[in-house]
Amino acid sequence: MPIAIAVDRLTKNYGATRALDGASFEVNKGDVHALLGENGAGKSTIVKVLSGLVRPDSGDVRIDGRILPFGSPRASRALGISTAFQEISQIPDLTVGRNLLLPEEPLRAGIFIDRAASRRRVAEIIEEQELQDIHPELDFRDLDLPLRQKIEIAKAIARKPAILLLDEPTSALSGKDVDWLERRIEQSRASGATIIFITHRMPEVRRFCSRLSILRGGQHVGTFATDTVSDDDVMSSIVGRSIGSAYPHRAPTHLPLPDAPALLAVERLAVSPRLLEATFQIRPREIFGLGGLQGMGQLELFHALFGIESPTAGNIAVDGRPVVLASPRDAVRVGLSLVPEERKTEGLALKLCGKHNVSLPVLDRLSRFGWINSGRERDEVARILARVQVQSRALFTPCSAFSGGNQQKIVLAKWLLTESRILLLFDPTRGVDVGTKREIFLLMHEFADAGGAILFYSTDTAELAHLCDRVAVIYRGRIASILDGEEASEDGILRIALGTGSRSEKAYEPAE
Amino acid sequence: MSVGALGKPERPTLLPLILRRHQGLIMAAAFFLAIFTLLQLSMSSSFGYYDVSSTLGSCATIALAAMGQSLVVIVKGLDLSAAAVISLVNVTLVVSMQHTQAPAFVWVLLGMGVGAIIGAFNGVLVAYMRLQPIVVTLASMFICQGVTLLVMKEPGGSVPPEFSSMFVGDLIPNLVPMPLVVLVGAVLFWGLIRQTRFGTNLFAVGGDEEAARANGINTSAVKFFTYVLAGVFFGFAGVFLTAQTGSGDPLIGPPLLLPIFVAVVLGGTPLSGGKGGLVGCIFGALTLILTTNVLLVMNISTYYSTIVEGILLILAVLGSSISQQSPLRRQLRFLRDRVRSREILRARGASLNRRPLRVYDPSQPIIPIAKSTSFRDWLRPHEETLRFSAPSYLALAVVLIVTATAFGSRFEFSAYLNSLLVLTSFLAVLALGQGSVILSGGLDLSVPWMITLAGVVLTGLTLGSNEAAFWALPLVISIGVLIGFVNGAIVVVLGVSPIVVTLAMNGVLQGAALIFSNGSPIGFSPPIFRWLMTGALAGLTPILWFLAAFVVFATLLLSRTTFGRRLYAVGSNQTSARYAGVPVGATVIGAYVVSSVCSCLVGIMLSGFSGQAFNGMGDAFLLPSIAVVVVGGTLIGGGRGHYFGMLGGALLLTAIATLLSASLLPDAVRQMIFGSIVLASVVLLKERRTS
Repeated sequence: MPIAIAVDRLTKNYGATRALDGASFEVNKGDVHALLGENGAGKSTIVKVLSGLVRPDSGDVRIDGRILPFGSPRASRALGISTAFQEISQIPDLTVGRNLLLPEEPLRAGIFIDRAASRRRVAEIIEEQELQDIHPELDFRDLDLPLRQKIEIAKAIARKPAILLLDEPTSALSGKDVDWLERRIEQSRASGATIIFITHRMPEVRRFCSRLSILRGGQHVGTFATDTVSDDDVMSSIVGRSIGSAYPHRAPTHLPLPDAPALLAVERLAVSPRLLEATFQIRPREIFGLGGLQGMGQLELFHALFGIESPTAGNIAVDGRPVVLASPRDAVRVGLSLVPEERKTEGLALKLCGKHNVSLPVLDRLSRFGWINSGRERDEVARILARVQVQSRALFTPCSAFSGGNQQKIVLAKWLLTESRILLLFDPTRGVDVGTKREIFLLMHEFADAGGAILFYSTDTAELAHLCDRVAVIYRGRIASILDGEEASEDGILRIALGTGSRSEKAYEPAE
Repeated sequence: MSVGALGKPERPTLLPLILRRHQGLIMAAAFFLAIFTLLQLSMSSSFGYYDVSSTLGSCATIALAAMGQSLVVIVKGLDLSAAAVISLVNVTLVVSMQHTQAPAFVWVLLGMGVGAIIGAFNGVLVAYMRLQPIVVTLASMFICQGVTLLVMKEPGGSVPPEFSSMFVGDLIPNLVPMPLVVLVGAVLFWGLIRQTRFGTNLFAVGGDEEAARANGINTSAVKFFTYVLAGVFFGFAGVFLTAQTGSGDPLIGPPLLLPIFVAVVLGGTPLSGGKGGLVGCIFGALTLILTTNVLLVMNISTYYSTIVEGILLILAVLGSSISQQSPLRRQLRFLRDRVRSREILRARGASLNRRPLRVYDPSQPIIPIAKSTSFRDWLRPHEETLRFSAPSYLALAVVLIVTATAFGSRFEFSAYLNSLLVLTSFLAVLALGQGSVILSGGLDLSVPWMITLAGVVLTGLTLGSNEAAFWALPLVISIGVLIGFVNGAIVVVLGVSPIVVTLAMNGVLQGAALIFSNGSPIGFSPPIFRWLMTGALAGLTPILWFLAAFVVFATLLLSRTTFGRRLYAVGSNQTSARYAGVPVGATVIGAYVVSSVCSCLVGIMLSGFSGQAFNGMGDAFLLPSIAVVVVGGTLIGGGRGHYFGMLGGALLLTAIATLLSASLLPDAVRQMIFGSIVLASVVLLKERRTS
């Protein structure tokens, strides 16, 4: 069978982070080819290289035997590559119609935009892509997330590409829309496209894809025909080992005391419009998980708990006393810590050295009348960096020079130094290598063992199932259920997260 | 998985949608009608043809320039060189017309060509070299001003009356004035642009540059052509101004910068980019001119005009952001929560942190990061500082050698050093202020008139008396604290961009200084300040002893205090700073206070140096204040920089200025050289790209 895409030894480094490490694989012409891997395995980087948005450090790509010039979106388009990006790439203030045509609105006399032809073309696209429920004159920003994603996909397909790249196209789509996507993929294949399909959901791989390639740590692990491999084999190839061993064991003597007073109590907390109601308590020594699909109100909950957004209703109590958190500064003061979602933009000031990052929340403790005791500062930061096993050169080196895992450990060091009792972790292991993940899990254990309380959200359900004492699952802005012990299995969490536990809506069947 | 209630997508009703899309323009027109009605009511006679014609005539320059500026703003840029281009075109045309005769269209093309060249210069640096628009256009603004002064030193010259009447006469007498034709022409031109793909791409690039690139738009080319096109608009504005005034004036441009921005924002183009249009600019400019007329009718001194412009600018920016997630409302909610949180914290008396939780043993000795004595180890924490500061000192050494060589045997090193340091002291003080603001991620454009106001107020109050200085000095410093606080508070609380706030504040301070001095400052500097700047103490000019103390103070303030540390954190990444519990608002306000106080000190020093104060004495310090910070290795946009480097920058620039003033090169060259040095240093000190 002829090869449509040949990726050969691609390497790409972002500072100290290696996004691609000599990845090579091939995609047959006319296939729907799944690309699988953990967050940070390099899938999106490959998509961006193929689309011309990222210039790799070395390696090359052949499309139908022709070398792909790197770093030029237009060159990629000229070779027939069309992409539906994970971060939707439409312009919010243009109408849906103009977005669908961008940047090739039909012209009159070679200069001026032909409005009539534009309207006709948009109507055509809407017809052929089954988008009749979207009015083309609406501004793109007025659409909700699933519709935005459908536009992103439809636009890529409407260009009749030879190569179609779909980067997590189903992340915001539900059952009916996934059926829609299936028809789109069929349509595109029928007109001769080769498709790369990125997803985290095995059922979709089985439904759409004939072959699959697995990436791990920026390298190609293997390519298989979909019907020759089991889900378990795929999963262990993705993580690189059998799943159980990734999670350290916690000594039973340190389990939370069942009747200890709650360290963090949240009552009927709401942040409109996303978070409607959350009520739970976390006791000392407890790792309390938060599960659910993305965008169900988790972020709003964390923001409210750390004083970033103010709640529209409800109460927060810390150590048995009610608090109002007007700013993160208040939150730090009452003893809360947050490892935020984006470590590069929220967790660290990358330009500053580790010392200046780590000591920031405790500057008041390290200073008198505004004068910093720099000897003490250096000692304390050095000690805590050693504790989280980050090299001492981090003291004076800008954080941008460290890999994602080390950066996350510097963020943790910052909060351990505040000696707070409550740790809020928002997806702390995203894009972190396996070894560092384990170190982070160990630190979580030790923090809990010492009497702290942890609220832990992760996009990886397995982490929740293996690490948490209890898991609250959030669905459409409400805590649908709090699972305990045996119930808090991957399967149990997922079932409620998909709404199949409480509602009859058919999403898709989770992996058996 | 879909989130929230989806239901059946409704068929949109398009009218509200269209209204919202043109909200800026509608608001601009409404604002104009309101001020027009106000003017009609306060005037005895009604608005006749002559009034219409002259109003359009006086607003057209600003309207045209604002249209160009709007283009740049739509692609999320900023062009500070707009006003300087106008003066340059003005003097170029007037001087050429003295020597040659040519049909009018040649002059129009010449003017637009000059604009296009400067636009292309800005465009290359912004779009292809990816430098920040503020720095680039600030530098090109000063280069243009220098060239302007080279072309024409003093106001003068004239243009043929036919040329003037082509633009300010009538197309059809008593019915259609030419300025109207010009403006309608510009609107039609914009209409044509909107009909091209470039017209769509403009908004795409401004709305989301990454997305535009992902869609295959050549974003660099779009940005480049936007700057060129803006330059053409500025050039045409210069042509119109020349026709309107009928003569040349090298200094006519700079005061237009503030009104241009006012017209852009009043015209409904938000500074956040990706939205707006050019038509509103005409209403914006009209509103501005009519407001000035209202002041005239109401018999209010023209000294107030810059104050009104400044306040209008802030109000317009606030007005345009009201429909979005209003920062004001967010701040009010924050204040409410804050009051409640303080009450609760006080009632609790204790925080959890009284019982610290340690996952490490604080008594355990640190893995010794050996207090090594080797030079390399000592160097390591300071490596970055040195890397970015060293170039300015190296350049300084070169300039000193050149100076010594140029002066030959007449060179007396100690006298030279003394005077160099005295002259450096102004910039060394300003560097701390401007540097703090830049480190926090902002920019302070109110430096010039803060300096002037301080000088004018001090000399006006003391009238040359030492005794009065005892209370006047603290008073002047308090004014500085207040102004800085207001600057910072508007930036923080209302969320207005620092450039807008401080540009407006500069206008307000200018008005205040003019009103206070009634146009011409009186009094003299108290003898104590004259002694400070020109006397002698232990063999040196007294200010040098203070300068030494100031340098130590500034270095420690930025590197060893919680304020300094937080300043870097905020400038480097505001979100991560906030999430780390840094009081971001207080820190930013602090930076502006430091800046205003430093400007006040310089105002006092300057008036001491020359014995008295004069209006506009601070104008020459805006670019140098930014230049020394940038040359010293500080990153515009915040987070990187050191006072040691800024001091090097101050010494270097002063040494260059001294060398130039000793040579026979005109003063204009100095502005050009400073502008070029700023550009050179942002290019050379750019961080290696990591992506």
